[in-house]
Amino acid sequence: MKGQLQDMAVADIIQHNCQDRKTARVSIKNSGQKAQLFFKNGNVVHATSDGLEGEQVIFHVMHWETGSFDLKSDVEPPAFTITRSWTSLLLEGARLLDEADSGDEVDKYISTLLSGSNKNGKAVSSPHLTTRLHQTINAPVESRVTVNGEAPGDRSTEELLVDLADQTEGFITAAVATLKGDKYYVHSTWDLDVTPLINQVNQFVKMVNVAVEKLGQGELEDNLLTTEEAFVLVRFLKKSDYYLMITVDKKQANLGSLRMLSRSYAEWLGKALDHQSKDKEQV
Amino acid sequence: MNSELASIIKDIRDDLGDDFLATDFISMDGMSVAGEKAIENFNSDIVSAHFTMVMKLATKVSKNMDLGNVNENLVSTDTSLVFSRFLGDGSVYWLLATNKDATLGIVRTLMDEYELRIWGALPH
Repeated sequence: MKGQLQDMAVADIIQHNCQDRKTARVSIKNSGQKAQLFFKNGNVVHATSDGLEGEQVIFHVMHWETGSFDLKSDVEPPAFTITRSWTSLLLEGARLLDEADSGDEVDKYISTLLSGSNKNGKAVSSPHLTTRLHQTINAPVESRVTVNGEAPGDRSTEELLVDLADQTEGFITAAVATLKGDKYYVHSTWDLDVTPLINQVNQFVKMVNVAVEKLGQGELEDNLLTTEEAFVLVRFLKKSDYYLMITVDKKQANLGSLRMLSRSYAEWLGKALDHQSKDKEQV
Repeated sequence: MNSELASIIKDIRDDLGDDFLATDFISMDGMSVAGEKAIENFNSDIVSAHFTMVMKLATKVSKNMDLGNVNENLVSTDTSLVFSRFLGDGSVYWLLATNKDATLGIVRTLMDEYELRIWGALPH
């Protein structure tokens, strides 16, 4: 089996192999870097990458968001360097990534990644990797998202929805609508009966709003519905009556990327709608 | 609340530590079967009733768009995360509220680990 990390994250690959109790080797490539993960009867038992081996490799490759992977079944591991359960391994990897996201913890994260020893017991250091990780982790969210290679400028709501579709892996539908349902814009790759759908989504979003109010734990930021086939993300546009709904194919989507895109596009769509309403007032 | 459910909730609280806000196992008629909270202003009856409506409407939206059964709904506020996940045959869902500081991936993995155990301990 071959695939792209954009379609299936490293954590998902590990989970898939372990839950299926596979014995296999997964080779992963990312920007000139390579790693191999070995599974034995549903456990990750060995991993190597550029002189590193063991758990550090797993924590390292969990950061890779792009690249390719190649799975070969029934390949026996050449060594056993990982004893921790795969769930515990993923939890620790997620924790490290989360700490890294807090910014202040970047150095700690990188030193954790690089603190492993190679086979000879010598400390492993990679200035190139350090620089790359710094650049990636410290980059502001918006700079990691490009809209056809240029700033959104004065694009219309419709144009932004088309851009969003182009940017989103596994895109199905994007809609911008008011809770009243009196105004909406929809861009979809599916043939949908739009009006009843918007009415139903409106009811859903209204009820989420009420539920959050009753919960008394802060203001609603977004809502992510996960079904067997898809993710449906809803986010309100700032200073606006509109919300943005994006539906994507679960098998192809990258959830982290989807949430980042939704934040950026919610802001840009809010500005576009604001401009449009001002233009109408002037007319 | 039976002792197994009480034990599960204690384990969940221990695993989440300070990130735990509240949890409830709620039947689709909107009634909480069991739960616990770490915050004073969490009204389990009201929250259960409203989030049940959210789950019912989510199911309708998913059906309308032909997206398959609903697995989970996640509400993010500026201070908290609220997971609602169907259990077993879908007659009950698990609501888990955490601080916004909680790591989404970790909470989801934790829920994966506990959901079968919870379903087994619920009265059927």
